[in-house]
Order: sequence, then C-alpha cells, then structure tokens
Amino acid sequence: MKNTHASMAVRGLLYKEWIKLRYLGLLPFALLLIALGDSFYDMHGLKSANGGQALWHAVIFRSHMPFEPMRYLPLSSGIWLAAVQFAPECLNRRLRLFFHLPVDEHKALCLILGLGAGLLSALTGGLCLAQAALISLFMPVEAARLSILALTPWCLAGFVAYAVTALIFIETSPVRRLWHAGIGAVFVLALTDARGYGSHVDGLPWFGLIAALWFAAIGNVLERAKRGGGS
Amino acid sequence: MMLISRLALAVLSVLALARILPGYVGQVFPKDYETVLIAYGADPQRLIFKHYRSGKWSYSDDGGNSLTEDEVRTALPFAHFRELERLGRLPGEVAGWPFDPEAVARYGTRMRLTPRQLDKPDFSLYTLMESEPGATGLQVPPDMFRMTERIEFIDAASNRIDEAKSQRYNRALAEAGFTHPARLAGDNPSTQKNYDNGVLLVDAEWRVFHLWQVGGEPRVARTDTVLPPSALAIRVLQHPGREYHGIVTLPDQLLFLDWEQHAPHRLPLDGHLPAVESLSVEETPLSWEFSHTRNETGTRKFVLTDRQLAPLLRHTWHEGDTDAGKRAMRAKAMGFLFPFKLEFHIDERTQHSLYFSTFGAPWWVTMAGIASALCASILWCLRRHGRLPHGLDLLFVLLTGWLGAITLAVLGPLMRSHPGLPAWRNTSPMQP
Repeated sequence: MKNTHASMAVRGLLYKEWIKLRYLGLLPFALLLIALGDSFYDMHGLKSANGGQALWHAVIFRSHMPFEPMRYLPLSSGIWLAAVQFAPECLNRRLRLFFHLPVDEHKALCLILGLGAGLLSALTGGLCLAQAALISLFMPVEAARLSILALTPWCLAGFVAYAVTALIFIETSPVRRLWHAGIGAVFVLALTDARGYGSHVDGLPWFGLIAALWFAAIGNVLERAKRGGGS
Repeated sequence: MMLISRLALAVLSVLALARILPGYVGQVFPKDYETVLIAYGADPQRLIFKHYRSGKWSYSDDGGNSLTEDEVRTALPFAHFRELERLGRLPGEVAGWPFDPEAVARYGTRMRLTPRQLDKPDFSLYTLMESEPGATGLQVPPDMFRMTERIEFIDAASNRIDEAKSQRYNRALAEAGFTHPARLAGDNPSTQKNYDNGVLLVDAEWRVFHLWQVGGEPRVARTDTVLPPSALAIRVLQHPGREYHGIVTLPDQLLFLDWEQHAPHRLPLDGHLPAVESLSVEETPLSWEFSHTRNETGTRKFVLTDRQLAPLLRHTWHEGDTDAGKRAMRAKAMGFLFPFKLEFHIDERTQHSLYFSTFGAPWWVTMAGIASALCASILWCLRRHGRLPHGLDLLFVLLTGWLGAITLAVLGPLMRSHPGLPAWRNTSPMQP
C-alpha cells in the first residue's frame, strides 16, 4: 500500500513537472533553432560572398565563431528551466508543502533536478551535434571537433547556472542567496568568457567536476530549509 | 550524504573566494615594478638598458650612465636604422663593419617566443603555398592539408579531399622515406613574407623532413636530423637572411635548423624553460641577442652571441632592492591572508583551467595566517553558537585558512559539535 502511494506520488510529481515544462520548457529549443539558423547563414553567407577559402581562414586563423550567438544560450536556458521548475515550488513559502509529500523530499528533489538536467542535456547535446553537423557542411571534420570543444564549456555553464538557480530558489536566507549567486557567477564567468576555439580543453574535467559539485550541494540546502521551515 | 553535500558547497565557496579575494586585496599593493629590455651597443661596446616603470621609459648603459632617447638611437644603430636614415645620421661603420642598410634589413630578424604558443589548441590543418609563385606573388592556397596516416589535401571550395594531389604528395613523401603518422608539423600561413619556405614535418621516427610546393609539384628534403621524442614544437622560419630553416622547441632548450643541412644548433641560453619563459630574439649583421624572462620574477637573462651562435657576453638583470622589497612585502601580506590563490587563466597558457599557486611567502607567515584564521573561527563559533567548533570544521580551516573561515562564518559549520545543535542552521549570519 505504501509503495502504491509512493508510486502515485512520483507519477503526480512527473505530471506536475510536465505541466510546468510542456510549453515553457520548449522556449530554449526554439531559441536553439534560431541560433542554428543564424550560424548556418553566417557560414553560408561568408562562403557565398568570398569563397570557401575566406570562411576557412576566418575560422582557422582569426578564430571567427559562426556560433558566437550561442555563447549564452545554455546559460540562459539553465536559469530559465530552473526558474520554471522551482519558482512555483518555492515562492510564497510554498516550499513547506514540498516536505509533506508522501515521497521523501530528497527523492522528489532528485526527480525534479533529473528532469531539468535531462532537458538541459537534450538541449546542449542537440546544440553540439547540430552545430558540428553544420560546420561539417562547410569545413573539415577537425573544425567540427574543435567547435564541439568550444561549445562544451558554454554547455557546462548552463548546468552550473541551472543548479545555482535551483539553489537560490530553495535557499531561505537572503544573505546566503546572494552568496550562492556570487559564487556561482565566478564559475559561470570562467566558463563563458574565453575567446577562441578549444580554450578549455585541459580544464574541462575540472569544470565538469565543479558542475557536479553544484548539483551535490543542493541537498543540504533543502535539508536546511526543512529544518528552518519547522517541519 | 548531507556531509558530502555541505562539503561540496563549502569547497565551491573556498574556490570562488580563492579566485576573487586575492585579486581585490592585491590591488592595495603598488604594482609599479620596473621591467627592463636589454640590447647590445656594438660601438662602443656596452649593454643598453631600457627601463619601463609606471608608463615611462628611461635609458641607461651598463656603466650606470643615464642616456637620452637620442643617445640610445645612436648607440643601437641596427635596431633604429630606419629612424637614423630619416634623420640622415646613419653611421659610416659600426665596430669596423661598413654600415649597409640593406644588410641590416636582411639580417634584422626579430622574434618573440612565448609559452602560450606551445599549448595553443590548433585545428591540425596546415597550409602549403607555392614557393615559386612568379609574378603573382604569394597567395593564400585554395586548400589545406592534414597529416593522418597519409597526407590529405582538402579543397576549401568543395570541402572535399583532392585525391590526385594527395596521392602525388604521398608518393613524394614515401619516396623520401617519410613514416606516418607525423609527430609535429610547422607551417607559416602568412602571405606577408619575402618568400615561402614550405612546411617542416617530423615523422613517426622523429626525423625532420622539409616539404615545399614548387610549380605545383612536391619537393621533399629528408634530413639527417632526428629529434628527441620530447620535442614540443617545430616552426618554419622565413627570414630574409636565409641562414636557418626552422626552430625546434624542446622542454629545456631551443634549436635552430641551419640552411644547408637542417643540422640542429643549440641556442646557448642559461636555463631557459620554453614552457614558462618568454624569449626575445634579435639579429644584427654582427650578432644574435637573446633575452628571456619569466613573469613576476624581477630577473631577465641576456646572451649575446656571434653569427655562429657562440656566446660572447652574458648578463643577468635583477630588479632593484626597492622593488624586491615591495614584492616581498606583498608576498608576506598575501601569504598571511590566503594560503593559496586560484586562477582560471594565466599569462603563460592559452588554456583556461584551475591553476592553484601560492604567493611565495615564507612558510611561517602562511602558518601564522592559518593560526589566526583558526582563532577567529573558534571565537566566531563560541560567540555565535556558544560552543567550540567540530574537529572537521577546524581541519577545514586548517587547510584553507581565512578562505575557509569566511566560508564557514557565512554558511555555518560543516558538523555540529553538540548533538542538540543543528548543523548549518537556517539563520542568517547577520542575525544575532
């Protein structure tokens, strides 16, 4: 009977996430399509106007990035998705309801985070693959490989921004909210401010670990909110 | 699990503080350190120092005499021959050598090699220009090539492999004894040069090959030079003087490859480490001048050689006592406050990563800083929570100093030392 209740609660949570994300969760994907179109026409325009040589030299020797408008797409998508998922749960002290669900709050949190991170993974995975495919139309595979390596830190910034936004929503102390925002901004800036291809190749494992730490940090903030919430 | 979660947030906070705080605190200390450029005046023979501090240049010689800008121009006629020519003050001869502006231009190579050139990610696509372009001059080639298990030319217009050209070049390389895959390749894609000197390739057995395109056909030179497997980079040179084909970077030395046989000639530098030091190379018709330095060390080493790279003069410049004192004071103050700092980007690297470093303070200063952070953390805990901190909290502060103490003050303790007290209480640190 208890299992049935828990299963129903999980399905209820999934349904709630579906309701939150079914329209608003599509916005980043719409922006992705626009950005991919922009990237295609950037390369196509350069090649049509000045020839393939000009495009190759712009990319290889002048570090021109046809996908430059995508720099902040994963970052803004991460913030957006976390806000869509957590604002309805946390605003107006509604987080207290979260602790009265018939399912453990940490499992519920993992479910919500898993859905959001999964959606962000689909977005960033689609971004990298589609951009690599677009570049392969105009340039050798080496350029496509390096463009994925240039996009990866921006994608990681999206995951950091997602976790930090979730943390800020769950956090109940205004001072600590500011603290989390400031600390998160340091890592997000480190991942997005570099110019040129392949600038984070050596550091990607470390920055990946940092993104994972941000997700790991959410649990204790929820626990603290629970204690402070008088549960 | 909660402990891991708390540790994760605390570690992230310490990393971010180690990135931000040293930068802001460091602004308090003056940064007007003197830097110097060194050149050799051949007639009369003396070293000329160009001092730079706070946006201003001043000049002196190795006898300690101050020089004006005009005197420097006269003392260094090779470096300033265009200006002297405009002023109509070209010397008749320098150290017995009849001054020839054309020869000065031909043997006036200037190069700067930096550590950033070694870790720069590249596309592994290379250009090969027509070495005898005729009346059209040097032009950007319509294709680029890659070195995999063979050489492949890719046409930029169609983005397809040019099989016919690739096969011609593969045959030429095979006939010369080239073993794929290539270890290193060095090209020069610029068209702003006097001539094209092709591409230097290092094959799987670390032998150096030189590839040119002459009249559209490959020309390959197999050399007797076999590099050690530690070689980091090879660059092709296109200097007007045509004395050297290329330069090879090894972890602890640099080699010039001569024009006749590509034979390696070691540059006579004192303990130069290409991965961390930048090197300036200046050529004159009489000599070569090499000067290398490392960021924020306050030293610069200078070597003068003859045309055959035999050393004639060595000099090490050290910054003055005032600057050294300022640097030491800054190191002590920063070392007291922060046991380490974190940077995501440093001058010597193109790669953004996590670079941890200390401030070079004496160990006892760092330990004193950590001890003060521990005391502050204990006092804060007693005042705020009415108890001593848990051993884990103390260990955290011991490892991270003031960075950890500030983190725990804002976020709360990692562990409760009394079971009745909740860890990471939901109270703002600003509240009593």
